[in-house]
Amino acid sequence: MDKFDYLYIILYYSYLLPLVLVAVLLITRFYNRELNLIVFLCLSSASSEFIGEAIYSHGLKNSFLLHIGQAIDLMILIGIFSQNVIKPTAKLAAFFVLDAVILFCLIYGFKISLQNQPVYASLLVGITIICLVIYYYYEIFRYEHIDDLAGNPVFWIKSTYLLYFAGTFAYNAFYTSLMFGSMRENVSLVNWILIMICNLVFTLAIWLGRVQKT
Amino acid sequence: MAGKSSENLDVLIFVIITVGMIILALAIICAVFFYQRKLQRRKNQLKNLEIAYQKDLVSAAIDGREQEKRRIAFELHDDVGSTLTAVKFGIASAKMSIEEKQQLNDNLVIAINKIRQISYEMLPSILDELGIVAGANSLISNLNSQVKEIDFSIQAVNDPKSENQTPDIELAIYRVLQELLNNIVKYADATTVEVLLIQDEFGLDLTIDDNGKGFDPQTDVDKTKPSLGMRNIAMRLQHIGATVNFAKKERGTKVRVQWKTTT
Repeated sequence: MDKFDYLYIILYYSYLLPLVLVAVLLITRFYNRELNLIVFLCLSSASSEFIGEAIYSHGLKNSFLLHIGQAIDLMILIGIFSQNVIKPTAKLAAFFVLDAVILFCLIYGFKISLQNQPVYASLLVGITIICLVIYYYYEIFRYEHIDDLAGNPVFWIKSTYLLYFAGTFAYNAFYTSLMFGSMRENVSLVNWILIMICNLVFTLAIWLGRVQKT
Repeated sequence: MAGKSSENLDVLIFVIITVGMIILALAIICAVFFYQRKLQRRKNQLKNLEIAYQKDLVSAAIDGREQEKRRIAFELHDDVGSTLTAVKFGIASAKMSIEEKQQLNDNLVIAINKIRQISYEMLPSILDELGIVAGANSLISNLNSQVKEIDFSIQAVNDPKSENQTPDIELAIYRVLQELLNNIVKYADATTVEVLLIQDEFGLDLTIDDNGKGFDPQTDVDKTKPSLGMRNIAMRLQHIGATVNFAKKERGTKVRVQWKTTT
């Protein structure tokens, strides 16, 4: 096993971190139902990773899972992006934009075949999410409706998405030229590290959003 | 060879864009986070200033009212009271029948006593001289002589008081006691009222227990038109940092007012 294999194992198990915390919170009755969407998102990401790995270990192609996973993640993100947003028109706009992106991803997926990487769809999803997060930040200053930003799980989730999609922008943009070269694993490393950061911050967000008993 | 250098260039562009985007994203997140905290701090400072301003307003209103009461009490006692006393002595030399003089004299005595009573209630001098426990005892004894339908009793613990227990605090608690007893006389249909007043180094603890029809401020007060008396109680207690708790019983109400000294 080389360093990439070790890293991949860490990445693989990092998906379990938020889910283990959810289980602990459920057992100790500290779980907050308002976290359902975040938990569904973690569950969806973890499931597509584990199922993908299982399919790959049987020598089959698993790229189609990226298309399905992306569509499911976006559906959950519609809910997450309507949280903490004040302006009803902005909520509605986010809903329609994300719906349009989901539709594009599905059509694009079938057009390029589900067996291929949804490169341009990922790029579009990234740009859309970055714009929505920037709008969310604008509302934070415009309405000053969040008192404790550090303790707000939605802020951390949205900020993590900003970091992830900003960090994977070049990865998606140069995917076709980089993924077939000798630097493939080094390039993938960026994606893995960002996914690990996402999983860590999701865990933190779930912890921050737990029921606060006095 | 050419393919290798093209790939290296792609990787270089990839690294530059990725690192740049990550730094930019982190900078945006940090800027949002810290700037929002700064805004929040400023908002909290403004809120605190507003609370302090409100407190000052309440304090000024209470002080103004007490001063006005003091002024009226002095006027009644020194001016009107003395005038009536002079009239009383004047009656003796007036040309009237003895019955008429007696009648007039009785009415004057009633008026003088009433004025003394009102003036005392407005400015309980005993409070300044002997403190809250003596003041409460005197209030209960006055009520017992005035309101025959209700049996008022008081139990008091008069331990050395806290250094922070200023005359303002004693006056506020006394006024609250006055208002609560007044409410019981007017609305409670009670036959007995038991007052327990504990004064010690930790503060003041006042309990008023009656056997009337019961009162719960959460349900028995018209929220759109809260009573002036209840508002005064809340305002006075908030001003001195005391708490009040109403407990409606099967028969009657138990009210507990607590003021704890701060160390």
